[in-house]
Amino acid sequence: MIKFRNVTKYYPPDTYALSKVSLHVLPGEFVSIIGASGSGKTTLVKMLTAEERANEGNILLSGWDIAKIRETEIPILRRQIGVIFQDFKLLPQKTIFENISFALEVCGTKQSKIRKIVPQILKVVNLYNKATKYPKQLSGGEQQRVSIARALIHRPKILVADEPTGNLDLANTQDIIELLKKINDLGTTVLLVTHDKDVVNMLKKRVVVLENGHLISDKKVGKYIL
Amino acid sequence: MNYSFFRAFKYAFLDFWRNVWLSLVTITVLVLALLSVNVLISLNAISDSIIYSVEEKVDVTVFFLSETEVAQINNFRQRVDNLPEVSSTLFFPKDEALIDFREKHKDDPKILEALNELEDNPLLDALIIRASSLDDYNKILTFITLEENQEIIKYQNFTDHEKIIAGVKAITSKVEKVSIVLTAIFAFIAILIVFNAIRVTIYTHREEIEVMKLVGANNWFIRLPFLLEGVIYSVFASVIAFILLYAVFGAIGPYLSDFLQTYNFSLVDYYNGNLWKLFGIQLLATIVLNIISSAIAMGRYLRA
Repeated sequence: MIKFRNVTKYYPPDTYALSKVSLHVLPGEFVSIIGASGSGKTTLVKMLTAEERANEGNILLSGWDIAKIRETEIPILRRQIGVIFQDFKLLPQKTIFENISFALEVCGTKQSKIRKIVPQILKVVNLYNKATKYPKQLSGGEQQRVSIARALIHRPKILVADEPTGNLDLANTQDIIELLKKINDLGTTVLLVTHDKDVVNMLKKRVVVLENGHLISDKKVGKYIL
Repeated sequence: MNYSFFRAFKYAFLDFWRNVWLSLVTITVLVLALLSVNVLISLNAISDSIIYSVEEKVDVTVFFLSETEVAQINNFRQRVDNLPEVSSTLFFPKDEALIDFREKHKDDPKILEALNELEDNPLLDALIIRASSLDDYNKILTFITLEENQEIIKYQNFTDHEKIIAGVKAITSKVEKVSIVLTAIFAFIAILIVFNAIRVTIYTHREEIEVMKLVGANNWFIRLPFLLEGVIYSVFASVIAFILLYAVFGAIGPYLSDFLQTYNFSLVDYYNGNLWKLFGIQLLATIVLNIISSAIAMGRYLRA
């Protein structure tokens, strides 16, 4: 599903964010990517969404080399990859329903279809009864669930979570991780970038370790070893 | 695609409304630019009509010596009619000139008394010559001033008209130059204002834009609301400018019509007769300029 082949990203003159990273993620896998600050985790995520371009190597997404993607194809790529962030990135002046439907509106989806799809996804993340609330009226965990709902609205095959529990307490962290596991169980490939040792150890899933832009460890059932 | 366009237009209008003060400032500057353009157009129209009107009145009148015989005058007239530059000639005999003179001065008893004391008609036979165009008068004058014609001609009176036309053209030219400079300045300022307004709007919506990019919105969907916002500014500015223009016509109309009546020209009629053309061209030009300004403002900022 996702193949990084000798991917290198550097910033002149001599700063290497990623250095000859090779990684293969199979469909339906749950992969945790860990590493210290500056290890290249976020760069890896940005390359998947074409926010950054690799200087060398290939990034294959179901056979499509997105390292050489054209600018006009980027929106198409981003509809195939759901991304959630530590800071949720919700629009404060829109309700929960509107935040999620926004993702469909900007892609030209008809209103009638939006009215069918959004309630379904709200049920998946258990926020159906809070559709008319605004983000500030929700807890951190609930806001992150809204982000997840928005990320899933295009039914992507891949969900990338970049430090999704960074701003959450323990209870909400567990909720979010459980939700990600549930999404993974339904067939979506999940890439979780995290600093949270407990989350990684609890998951008992594949763990990839980055250090100074190099992939130093890749264990099928890994632990937080930094 | 139509649905997306409708949504983009809706977002553009919402942005316009949310930043209403910024929108008003932008529209005000655009209105000023359009008004200065219309001042230029009005001046052009007025000066063209004045020049045309004066040109229509331009002629060369040749006054013959009192002893010139009719046959000599007819011969001269025939030779003038044969000139390719001449469009028409009119013979004005001195008897008719006297009747006309008495009529014009019928309320001036002193002049009439003076006339009565004269035994002979003091006025002269005249030939009024009209040229096909203003530039032809030089050739006609050259013919008139030939030595052979001086035996029968006392004098001709073209010179005064020439000065009037030259004067009108000189004033018009100066006013035009100033108007063009003013228009260019306003247009430049308007472009900068629109540029700034779009930049502010982009900044205000940076969170939405970020989310749009994140969820895979098409580049055109991200850019289109800002381009359409420029179009909305153009439409409002054009409509307001024309409303103001007609208001100004209404206010200064009485003064203008006194002046322009002589030249058989009405600015309101001119605008009414060319309304759709004038409005359409200005609206289109404003839209194009605003789209260009918006596109530059978005520039690299909205690249994926």
